[in-house]
Amino acid sequence: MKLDPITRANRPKRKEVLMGEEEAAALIKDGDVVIVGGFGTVNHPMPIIRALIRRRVRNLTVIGAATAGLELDMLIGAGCVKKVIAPYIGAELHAPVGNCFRYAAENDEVEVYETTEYLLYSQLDAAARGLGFLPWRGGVGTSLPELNKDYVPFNDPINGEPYLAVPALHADWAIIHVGQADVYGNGQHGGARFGDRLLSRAAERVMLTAERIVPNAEIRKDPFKTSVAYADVVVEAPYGSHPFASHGFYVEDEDMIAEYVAASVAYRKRDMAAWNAYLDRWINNVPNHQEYLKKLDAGRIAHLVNAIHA
Amino acid sequence: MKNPAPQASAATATGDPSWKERMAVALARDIVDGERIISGAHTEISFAAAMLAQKMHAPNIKLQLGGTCFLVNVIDLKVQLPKTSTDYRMLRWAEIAYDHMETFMYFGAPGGRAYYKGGRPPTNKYYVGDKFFAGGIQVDGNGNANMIGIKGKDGRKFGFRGPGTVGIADIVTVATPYIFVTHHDKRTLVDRVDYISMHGPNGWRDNKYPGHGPKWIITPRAIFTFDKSGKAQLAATFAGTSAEWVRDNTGFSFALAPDFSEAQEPTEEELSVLRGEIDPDGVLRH
Repeated sequence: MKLDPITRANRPKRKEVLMGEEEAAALIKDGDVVIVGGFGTVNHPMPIIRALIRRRVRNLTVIGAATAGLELDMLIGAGCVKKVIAPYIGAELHAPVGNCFRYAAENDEVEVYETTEYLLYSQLDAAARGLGFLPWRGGVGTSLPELNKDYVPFNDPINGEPYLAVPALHADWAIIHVGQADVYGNGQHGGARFGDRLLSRAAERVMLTAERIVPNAEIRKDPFKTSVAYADVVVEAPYGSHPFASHGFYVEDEDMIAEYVAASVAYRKRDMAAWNAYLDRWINNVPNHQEYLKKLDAGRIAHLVNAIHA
Repeated sequence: MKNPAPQASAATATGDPSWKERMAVALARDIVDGERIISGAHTEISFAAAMLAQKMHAPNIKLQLGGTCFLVNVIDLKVQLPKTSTDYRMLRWAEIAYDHMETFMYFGAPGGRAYYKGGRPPTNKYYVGDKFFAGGIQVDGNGNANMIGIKGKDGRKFGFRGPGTVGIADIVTVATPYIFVTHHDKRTLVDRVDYISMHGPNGWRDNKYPGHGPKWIITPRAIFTFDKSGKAQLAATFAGTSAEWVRDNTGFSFALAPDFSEAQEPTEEELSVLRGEIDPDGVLRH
């Protein structure tokens, strides 16, 4: 048999995956299925979200976190989304229901895939495990299987208990915001991980935005902290969850969340001039994340960073 | 061991390769850069093979070292060959460590069974298995491996109770195993295994199960591959072993593979990296 000796002579380099946000966002195509990580008002990969809006990406199926936030609302309002899969879209006291989401759902401008937190987790889990489906008991007897024909009631063959069979949900990308990452795609959260580990497992490719880039040795100091290994893309994004919080780094920018919510209420009430003014001011006319940060009032970020210890 | 293979004289950095070193080098040569490798447990040979490949020609292999659930990259790190898959010191090389249950749960192939029908599609990040290494207390000519036990007399379930199937029946559903045995004799290489822990290639090829089935049976003396019908065929012998010797000491019948040859001995470079940077303690030479 042919079994050639190995040598270091032609050894390739270890693959580095660090790239700019525009280059990264360009990897996501019209019609892709995209999981967006984070939770509520925390840990969203905003430079990529804004880049997708600027690029006018269309017909995405977006899968939110178990509690998705206004980052999905923003994508819906900007016209990027064909179908949305999330058990909740909103920001609690800031916005009980995402306003763009609400308008789009009420007017059939977006397809809503009715689900629950753990039906969704079961579907992502099935994808991550390479299984066709998983059983879950939540949603049995509710309107869920009526509204979503993907959920198939069955009785388990061992105890005869009623369950729903939920199909694996495959995604092209998971975009996850982490605290730090190395150039090889190892990412570590700075606080709670919420559902991000499972979200990243379920997708075929993973894109990280990271508050900071660190040497590989820094990652190896605490491998138990690594949430995602071998991501396909890493984007350096300091303050990259703004206006939302990044666990371990800074808190929510409530004023700017309020500014977004006001714009989204305008969208819902069809005051498109006000909505478009918001998009232009913070997204369309801001070429990149660096410029976005420059546009913020001086001292604003420092305040949000300091508030984490207050 | 009944039929000791040619051995290095002492645990020194010079001298002929030991049979374990030959096996490790052969396995390393078959690893392709970018593959996902699960080294397995209780197997210093596959540990060495995987680390050798990563240091030599395949820095982008995604290496789960040991059963202990972390991914390491040792290209530029000084390592020692661990004697167990749970050695805490291995964590120094780890970039991620996760719960053991997670590794087995999330070995799932992307896209489920469709994965096996085409090439290699993009993958979810926790799908870590292209290849792994499986032992067997018995292995037969159809590539079935038995870790469960050997039947006793008079219908007794066990005359010898083996270690158990561990995870090989699980991992084979998503990765391609190399079966390795550390004894080449008729007790180990049998006509038909008493119990099946892991199927040979046939069931996989018929698409009856999700996976590929084993690629090789590698022993201290030889390497078997599988022909189109899933029968083991002798593909290579290590230095000092003839095809006749293999025939006399193997419990199943086999043909010579069309490309049968003697395996090229480990090169000076391979041995120097193996002994100098991976196995300074000579674990593979004891």
